Amino acid sequence: MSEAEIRAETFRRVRKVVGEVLKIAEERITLESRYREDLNADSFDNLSLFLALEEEFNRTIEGEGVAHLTTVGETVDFILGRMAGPAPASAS
Amino acid sequence: MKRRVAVTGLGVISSIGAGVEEFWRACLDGTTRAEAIPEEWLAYSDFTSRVWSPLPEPDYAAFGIGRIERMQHDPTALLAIAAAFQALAAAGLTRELRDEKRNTYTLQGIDAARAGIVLGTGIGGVRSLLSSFLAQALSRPKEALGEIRECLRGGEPSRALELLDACERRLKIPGRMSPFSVPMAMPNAGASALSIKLSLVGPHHTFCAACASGTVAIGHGYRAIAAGSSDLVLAGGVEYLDDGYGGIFRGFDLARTLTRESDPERASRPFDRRRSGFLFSQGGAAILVLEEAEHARRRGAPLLAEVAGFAETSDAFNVMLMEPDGRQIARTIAGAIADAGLQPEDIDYVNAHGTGTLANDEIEAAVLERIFGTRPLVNSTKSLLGHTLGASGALEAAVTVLSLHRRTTHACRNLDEPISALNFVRRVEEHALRAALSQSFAFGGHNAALVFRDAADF
Repeated sequence: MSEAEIRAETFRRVRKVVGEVLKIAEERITLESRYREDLNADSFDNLSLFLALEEEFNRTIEGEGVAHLTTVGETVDFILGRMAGPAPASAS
Repeated sequence: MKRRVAVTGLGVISSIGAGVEEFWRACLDGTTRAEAIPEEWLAYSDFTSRVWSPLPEPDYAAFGIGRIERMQHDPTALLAIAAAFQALAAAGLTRELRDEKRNTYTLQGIDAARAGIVLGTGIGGVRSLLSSFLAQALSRPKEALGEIRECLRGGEPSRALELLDACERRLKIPGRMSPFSVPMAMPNAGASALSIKLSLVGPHHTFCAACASGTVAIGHGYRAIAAGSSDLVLAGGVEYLDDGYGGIFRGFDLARTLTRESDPERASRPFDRRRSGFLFSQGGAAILVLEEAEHARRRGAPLLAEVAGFAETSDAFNVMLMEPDGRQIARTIAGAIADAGLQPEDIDYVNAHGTGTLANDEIEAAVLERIFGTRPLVNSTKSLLGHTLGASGALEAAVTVLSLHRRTTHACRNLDEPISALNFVRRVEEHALRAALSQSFAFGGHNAALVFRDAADF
């Protein structure tokens, strides 16, 4: 898969998770969507998103979780950065 | 006159049947469900008993509970929801969707302020606790095992030995598993120990209301005496939060509730603009002797203060977030003051919940200002102790009693830039305190408040 295809596929999966957690139709979610302002997400949603993304991508997200990510696009970049790293043993 | 009580609906989730009809049919058929314990358990221990009765997972989707919600709840909460939905349907009570994102409902035709929940549990959410705990304790040792395998394959035995040493050091394991592990772990262990230790044979209860547990326990102790069912009650709260691996701490840390301050002296700063979360305490306890006034007078007991009022409500909003408008908190405070036969202007001092988290302090300060204005003194004992969770309400009740009795109270530590104009205690001075409020608000949406009066008013 090309880099663009991998990014598109990651966005598709992130969008599915975001839609499921926030109960929002996937068509409403774009790379530019801001969690708080556009998608009405609060800190509790953020924790749920953290958990659901870990499960979707079978990765442990250490430290600050995903609270520092303000848009869906940033989340896609974050996931792509993590995917490039080594898989933690605890995710198996 | 005592009111009569009817049962109007039932819900059952059991190993032999889910739903009243299936369950009852299985009962009448003499059905049981017992089988060999899971094979993989045998790798960890030699068991004496080798059978159990497994519980089939309910079809949660049929109850409108999706994948995300199942990740957010312990099985005990999911089972309670499923059984309650059955019972409500049987009782002819209709649920109406209130919030689609949170998947919450209201009950049609029911006054929510007059409807409550009472549940008992032996061990509660211990499965979730242990699951997170195992992840905390064993993730890195397991990761190290993988590295050791690679080192051995790659001909690096000395590196493998180093990793093995580190792995062994990380596995802090108690000498043995105790045959007392169940009675030691159960939430009612403290109350039970007191009852046995002191040969008190009246009823003893354990209230699990997260950070409001101590306040709720004292409130119910007060009610038991007020209603005439007890003359003396030991009431309070206790908590111990050190698991040796930092697992419990990490649970709160992951939830982003803990202080980010690096200077320990400045770590706990409730109601300050630069607060960043609460200071996690290893634990604590406070017990109050509550006694019927005449009973106390007859034996010449010291009268420190009067427990004059108590109220509790539920936010019914979110398991971790306070309702932003603080409506139920305000109702709790008003209820406790009314129960004491007082008015808001009679309250001279408020021992606030004041955790030091961003949202909670803001909401609590706004509610206090709305109800009391800026007259009563306000402090947060958590600015000194940090947060002892279930013990905090009892420790703060003790501070409130002492403040009334000693006619002074402690200052708010680290309150450099207050977030509101409340009359925060800035220095220790003498105060003629007549009535005081101690309040707690907890995960799960529990709100509880106690009103204490100066013993001179007896």
